[in-house]
Amino acid sequence: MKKKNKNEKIMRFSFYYTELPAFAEYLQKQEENGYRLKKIEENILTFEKCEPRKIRYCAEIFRSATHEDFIELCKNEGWEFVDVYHGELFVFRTQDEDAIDIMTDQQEKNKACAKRILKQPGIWLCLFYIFKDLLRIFVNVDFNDIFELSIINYIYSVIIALFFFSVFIRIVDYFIWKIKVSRSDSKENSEFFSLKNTLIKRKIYNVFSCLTTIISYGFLIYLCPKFFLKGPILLSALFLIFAYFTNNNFGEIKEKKWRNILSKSTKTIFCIYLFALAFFTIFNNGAERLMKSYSDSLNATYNSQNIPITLSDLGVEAETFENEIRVKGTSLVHFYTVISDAEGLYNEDDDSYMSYNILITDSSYIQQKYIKQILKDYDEYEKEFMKVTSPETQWDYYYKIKHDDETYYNGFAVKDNILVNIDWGVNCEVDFFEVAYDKIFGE
Amino acid sequence: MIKLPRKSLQTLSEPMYYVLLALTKELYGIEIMNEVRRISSGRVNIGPGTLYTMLDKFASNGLITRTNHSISTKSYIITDSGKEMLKEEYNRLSTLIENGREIMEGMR
Repeated sequence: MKKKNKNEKIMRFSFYYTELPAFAEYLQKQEENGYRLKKIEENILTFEKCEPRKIRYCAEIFRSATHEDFIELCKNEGWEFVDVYHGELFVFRTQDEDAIDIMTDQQEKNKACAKRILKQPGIWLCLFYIFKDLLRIFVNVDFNDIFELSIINYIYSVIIALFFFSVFIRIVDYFIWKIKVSRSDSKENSEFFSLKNTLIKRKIYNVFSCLTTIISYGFLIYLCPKFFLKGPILLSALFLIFAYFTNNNFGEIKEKKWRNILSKSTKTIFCIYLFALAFFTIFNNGAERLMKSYSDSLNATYNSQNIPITLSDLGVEAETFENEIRVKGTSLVHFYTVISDAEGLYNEDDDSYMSYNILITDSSYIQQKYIKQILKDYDEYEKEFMKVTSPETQWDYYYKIKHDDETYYNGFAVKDNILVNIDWGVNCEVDFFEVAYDKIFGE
Repeated sequence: MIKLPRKSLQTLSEPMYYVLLALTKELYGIEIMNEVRRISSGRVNIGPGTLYTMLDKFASNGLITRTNHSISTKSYIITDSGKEMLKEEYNRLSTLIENGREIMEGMR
């Protein structure tokens, strides 16, 4: 509880729409203690000091209400308008004990409440699933970006899990309320919503929601520091901001209170940026590993393991090459490409190239995804034809793919958690896979 | 078919019935509530929120129409569709009473 000035009291408070009578009761008690509700903003209630008095409060949901008409109607029945929250939750008070309740039709009241409760999780879940599919249009399914695809799936899993959990609480609360409504005596309207003194519970929920949001953002930043500002991640972040913004500013959008919207969206984006920045700083040690490249040595290292495949082993003497290593969690990919003038494996009339990728991963999911990417253009018959599992090879299996124009070959071999993928030009006599095997697994 | 707020029953609730009865003449907000009290001899009281919701639904279903759009005196009156609905409901209620009359009198 903070005191803004000596005549005001500011309370952080959140409640579910199943708790409106409890909320009204809370406001009544505050006024009996000398604090009258002045306004509601997000999770903040502002009270002003007043003479303690007995008064009735009423909080009701009206989704289609035009403020002036509705307030005028209630005023004529002795109700004083206090404030409206999100353009749909109206709060009134009256000193007239005989003033008729604002909502006398309990069924309509329950229906309005139920719609409001389910609106929020419903919108978020629908938007997530729609956006997830749309995002695939923008994601470049690149052979080298296998990590990125996995990360996107992971991020969505984390985010969806987060929101499933937070909305799960709301849905459970909704069903508990529905059961109580159906069992209660219809005359005892005030007992339909039975939660009392829920402040502590709501605070725990809020703290937990904040923590899980922070953790999910932490994972987001930790797992993809290189791609932090890249397309799909940026889109995901923008989507989150959009979902949060529209949900919390629905009322203001309806009322076209653009200044309020601008102010709130600034705070929202700023808060998210601060969290992201904090965790980017703390957890972003992966970025340094990604920037390493080996320009002199042709050896790749992963933890303490050397993978000493060199182009010389493969009979290639090269002057220019690209060499990149990407590490993500427990997975490593070493990309190595010769882009010109390599002796020993090419047709003299064509531009030559040779490349190999070594994927080391404990994740069978990533390994299978990698394989699917290579084989995506072939049907099952062709894949069987290419597959070599003869006992003569020491790999678990390997594929050799000869392309139609016979200008280059592509193949990959798998053993345990290691996959070696090689592309090479024609006129090559070296059995690359056996060379690779000896180098990786040989003594 | 006109969709009523109580879809499952396809009948008017008591407050809805009285509001339509009241709106057989042009009335605005507070007058509607007073008229309902008068017709029902104080038995039926409709809250401003309930009335507001009801008027909105009736208007969107074509049972009533707004006749004055000024903020302070937005008035309504029943439409032909609303009259038809009211007559159906009245006949239904009358049938219920008629059907029960003989039995109820026999019980005395």
